[in-house]
Amino acid sequence: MHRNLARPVGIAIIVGLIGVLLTLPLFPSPSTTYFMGLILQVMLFVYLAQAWNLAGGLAGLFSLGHSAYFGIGAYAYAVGVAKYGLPPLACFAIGLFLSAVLAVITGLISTRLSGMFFAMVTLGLNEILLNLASQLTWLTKGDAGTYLRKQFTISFTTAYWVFFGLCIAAFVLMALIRHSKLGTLCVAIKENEAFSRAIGVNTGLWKIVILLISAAMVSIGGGFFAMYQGIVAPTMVFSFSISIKMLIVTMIGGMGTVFGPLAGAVLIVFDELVRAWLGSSFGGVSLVAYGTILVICVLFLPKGIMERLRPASREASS
Amino acid sequence: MTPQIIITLLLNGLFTGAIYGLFASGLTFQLGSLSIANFGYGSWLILAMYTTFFALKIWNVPLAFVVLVLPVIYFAAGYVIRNRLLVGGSLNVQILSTIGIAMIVDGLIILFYSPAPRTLGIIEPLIEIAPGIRIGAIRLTVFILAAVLLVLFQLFLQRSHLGKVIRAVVLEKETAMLMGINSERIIGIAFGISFVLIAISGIMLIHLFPVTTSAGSSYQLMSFLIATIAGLGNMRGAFYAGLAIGVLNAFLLYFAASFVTVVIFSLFVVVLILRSGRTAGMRHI
Repeated sequence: MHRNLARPVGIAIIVGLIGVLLTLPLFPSPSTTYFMGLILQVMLFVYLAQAWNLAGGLAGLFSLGHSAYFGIGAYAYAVGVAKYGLPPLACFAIGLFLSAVLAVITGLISTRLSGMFFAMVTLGLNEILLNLASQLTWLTKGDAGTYLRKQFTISFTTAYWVFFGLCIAAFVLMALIRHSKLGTLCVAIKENEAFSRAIGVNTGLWKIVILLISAAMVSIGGGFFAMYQGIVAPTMVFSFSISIKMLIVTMIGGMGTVFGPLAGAVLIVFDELVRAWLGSSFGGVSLVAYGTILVICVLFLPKGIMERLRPASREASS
Repeated sequence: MTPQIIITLLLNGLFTGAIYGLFASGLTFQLGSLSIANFGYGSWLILAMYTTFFALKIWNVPLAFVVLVLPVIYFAAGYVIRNRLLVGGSLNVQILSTIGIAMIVDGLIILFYSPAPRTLGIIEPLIEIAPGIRIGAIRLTVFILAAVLLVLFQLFLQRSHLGKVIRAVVLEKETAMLMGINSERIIGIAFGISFVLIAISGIMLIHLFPVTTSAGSSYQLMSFLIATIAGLGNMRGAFYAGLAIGVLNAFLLYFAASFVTVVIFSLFVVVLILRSGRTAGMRHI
């Protein structure tokens, strides 16, 4: 696409999308409810993917355990209100605090390990939390899960608006950070960490900062997810497939780009639609279709959809 | 806690650990030596387990036939995956495409074999080697087979022509190409050989443990864990690390069964951080 045309077309698409999302709930009907359910699912993963994109895409912190923050947020809310009767805001604060602790630990680890090894450690940390959640039955009620009473849950429509707001906030935050000092430092760290350190960048500090922001976003998402689902079980939140979805959506869209997670959402839509059409009759077909589309995407768009949409600006920057 | 119990746990842990070591050495060969991050490892492993189950129980194929045919099919699969899909890809591309392939494999398992857990249902005969100390006969066989197999694989890499070529390509891909070696083809063949290890591990595993569709990811994590503890690419180390994890697992199961995974993964994280300086870029084979 021509560079001069790409920008207005992109703005038109985004304004149109926001318009559709805003007006859809005004026309209640069974089919709108179905589409709102689909969109809610997509918005959840776009939001999470954008959070992952901050750490993984901008700073190159290839985390495979971001569902840990999601689970901490969800469990902090569920256990807080159901077991200890804390006010919801306090639960979110606890979730944020615990996620921040984990993010600092992960950030410190990232100063010693990189690439594959960092990915494996984050995966291991998530696995530890998954098992703690299922074994510490006095706290979490184990694999049966913690149920929330009606007054602590939010309705489907509220959840729709909550995640709509979160998505907008996430994209604004990403756009702000991308061109800020923090964003530039993160890209520098990703491109060449040793060189960044050599010119005086405190790489460890900035990695921890970006991880903290990313973890806080995922943790908040987890809290609202628990609110909307009404139940939190270990494999629901501390799940490898959630971590994987965050990075798949980001990578298909384009790592480190502002609108990458939005473009990558195509994959989630495709997955949900295939599962809705085929899922019940042929168990494995939806997985095969999802896997196939993923492989095809990677073969033809190895650097993501956004890269293909903006060849001109890419040439200018390189 | 009598000495008999300790020795029993130790021996059974060692024997079970051998199979961990075997499938982890396949992964360490892929990841450390060939620099291919295969996130579909666990799925291929359970596919071999399911296929062996169906061959033995449903299709009534003799075990010898499975042992002969399955590794050949797996070799071909590994070669095609490496040289058609992964060739020239970055780490991100590898991760995404192997995850995609893993999804396809999982889907095919559900489609053709159904997601029901499967077990050969063998009641393992116990051998009493000393008063009060019993060891499982299948575990012992698997231990011996795994050790022999890995020694043979090492010999193959050290002595045979193809093994030497593989080592040359692992050490210096470009130089090997200057010497007239078709590096891409050799890496494909080496990746195929690592798939043979997966197939054989799967055939052995189904004789010891039941298989479920979720087992793949835990085997995968386990092999990553063992491979990284041993230092990526270090196959002999992976076998010993597998033995160590097997023993640890056996004792933990006896003392604190519900926290096995927590303890093992905490250990994994700590070892990885402590060894960080030494694990990076290890390539010995």
